[in-house]
Amino acid sequence: MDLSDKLAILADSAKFDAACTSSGSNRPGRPDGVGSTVGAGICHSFASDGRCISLLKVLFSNACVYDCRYCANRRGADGPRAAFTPEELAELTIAFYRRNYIEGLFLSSAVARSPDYTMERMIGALAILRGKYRFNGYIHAKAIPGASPEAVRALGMLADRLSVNIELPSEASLNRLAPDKTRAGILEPMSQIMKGSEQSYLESKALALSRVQPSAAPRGFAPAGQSTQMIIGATPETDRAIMRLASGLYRKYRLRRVFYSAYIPVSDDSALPALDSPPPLLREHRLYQADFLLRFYGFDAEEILPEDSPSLNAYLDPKCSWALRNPERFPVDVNRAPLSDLLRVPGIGPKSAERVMTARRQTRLTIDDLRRIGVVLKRARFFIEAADTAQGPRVSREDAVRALLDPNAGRFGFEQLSMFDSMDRGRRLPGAGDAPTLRDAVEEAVACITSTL
Amino acid sequence: MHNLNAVTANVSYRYDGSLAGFYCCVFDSYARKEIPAAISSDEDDNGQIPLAPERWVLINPGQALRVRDGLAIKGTLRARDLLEHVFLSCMERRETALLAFARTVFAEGSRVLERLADPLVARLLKAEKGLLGEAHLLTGFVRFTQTEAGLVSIIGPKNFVLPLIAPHFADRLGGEAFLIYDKTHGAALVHEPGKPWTVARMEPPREQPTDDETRVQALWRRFYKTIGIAERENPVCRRSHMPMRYWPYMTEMKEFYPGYNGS
Repeated sequence: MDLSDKLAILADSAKFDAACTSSGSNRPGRPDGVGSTVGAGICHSFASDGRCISLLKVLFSNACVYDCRYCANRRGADGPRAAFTPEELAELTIAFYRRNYIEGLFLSSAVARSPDYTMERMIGALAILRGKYRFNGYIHAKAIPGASPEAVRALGMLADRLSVNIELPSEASLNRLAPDKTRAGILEPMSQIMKGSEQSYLESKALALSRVQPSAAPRGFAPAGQSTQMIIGATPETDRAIMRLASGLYRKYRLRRVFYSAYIPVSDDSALPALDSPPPLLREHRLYQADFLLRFYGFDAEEILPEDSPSLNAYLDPKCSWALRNPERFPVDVNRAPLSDLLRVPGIGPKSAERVMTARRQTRLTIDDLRRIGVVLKRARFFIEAADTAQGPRVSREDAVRALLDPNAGRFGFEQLSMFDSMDRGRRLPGAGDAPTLRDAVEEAVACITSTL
Repeated sequence: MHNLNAVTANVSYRYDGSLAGFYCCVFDSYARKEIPAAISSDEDDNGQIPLAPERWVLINPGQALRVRDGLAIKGTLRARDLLEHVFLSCMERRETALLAFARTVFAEGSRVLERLADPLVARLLKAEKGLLGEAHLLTGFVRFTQTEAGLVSIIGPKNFVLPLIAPHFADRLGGEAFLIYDKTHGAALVHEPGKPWTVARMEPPREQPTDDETRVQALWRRFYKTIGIAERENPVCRRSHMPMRYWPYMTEMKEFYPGYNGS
């Protein structure tokens, strides 16, 4: 098989993995090698689905001995099979990297023969890349569930970031759909990676203090930490269960990112959504928004989705939704409030909150000032007090709700609304089946949300 | 906020377009106690009739240095960086705005940097953000072609980003000979192994690709087409992250650009 066909098969098999980030590692170039890494990561292109292409994302092999029912590469699936040779993959990575097509390599694999055999092959490819080709760019490698700690250690010494996919949001679902995988086989390497990465972080700090040239410092074990991903919409877990799981993973395993991947049907299986069901993209989008609230806004999973709200709101972003549920927290006085309160205002993000803190040292901020600073007044105006805001109620609740409704809800397509099991304080929000047009659904949603305030 | 013992004069400054030249404009404005009605350079020679009689500002390296050092002392390095960034940006009539900014820094020190909502400061920050944003995008969107002479790339940025992306590429590809040609500004970043990089005005490169180049480019295009998920197609999202004006220079995107003729 020629290299081009191999590349197409192994990229096609890898495309469902959500992670393509190249962040978390900051390493200057070396005089004896090619490549560097940049802390914030760099996107080199954007695919037809709008997702960033940062790394050459491929599987080492797609011939799997496992039979996970949600996976396109499972043992029982049809389709062409291929595997790179280590040398081939290393050469291709360097050819792409020198031309600035990519930031590095994302290497995953189907389980060929056994987890440890697969890891050995992946380690072989990365060793050639780091050794023979002196590649100093970014590598994200997937640790295969069930691999030995020695293999995980060896992989981590060659990679910037490791990840182990948690796959599905609950152990019950994993047992049902991935008979060859176990929860323990996933969590053990995760815990090993956390400890190893933390250790190497401390060592790198010590080296920096002893003034070792950054370009001469060893790379260490997975300096960019670890991430994971789970499939959304293939199994019955609620958004609340998913957010609680994510928040636990961030806390317990110090993950840098949790990725959510809307399930795209790959087989006709009674245990899974039908082949013609569209991927729940709006729901995935809402989960990412909620995830940002956890990571950058100081929200707790329980605040985003309290016990009586199992699902995120299809029509509102999670921050607006929280703000409407907690009117007693507003208005926030932008000229006095602490940073943590500013971050709670819809339309104010981490950057604009910092700018508000700086700018108000010299002047009392007005609405126009806030606009110039970058606050999104379309949303923020219902929740703030500035130097020139009038006292008393300014708009009706209904108008506020209408202004806060996420225009993206419609852009994802009408049918996406039905993929939520959305309740707002006990009232069900309209889905595609409940209203003749999107506009009607929106009006119904406004009425429903307003009535629960 | 800026003003101070200087009046707007019926004169328009003209300088050579260099940063040193601009600093000399600032110096002259103080020496003559006047604010020019406009500042223009050879760079933006668009045949417009000047607003006021022109006066040539000559480069005096000592004066330029005094202004440059003074900005860091009276203000902060951040104030000077902001000015020098905006100078590279594509902001309209940036010299006039930067002169006003420099005068404010000299009068009030670095406090001006906290006034993020001030219309002038907000405008400068926005221009800087555009410049730095484009420089960041291009660290990803630059595409090199392998030629006998080394790696060659052509870009068409709005802002003059070459001096900003130079350290990144020189560090990353330290062992490579490469050239990035900026078509908009008619200048190139040139790097040779073991030597410091340079940015200078230059003619477009004419080097021919090597024989193997077609094969590698075809592999990359095939990867690009494969990695997108058909069920998630989202052209609006793609365009917002990767504006179409970058496409003609990108190996995998050229063919999607309207009017592409196969070359």
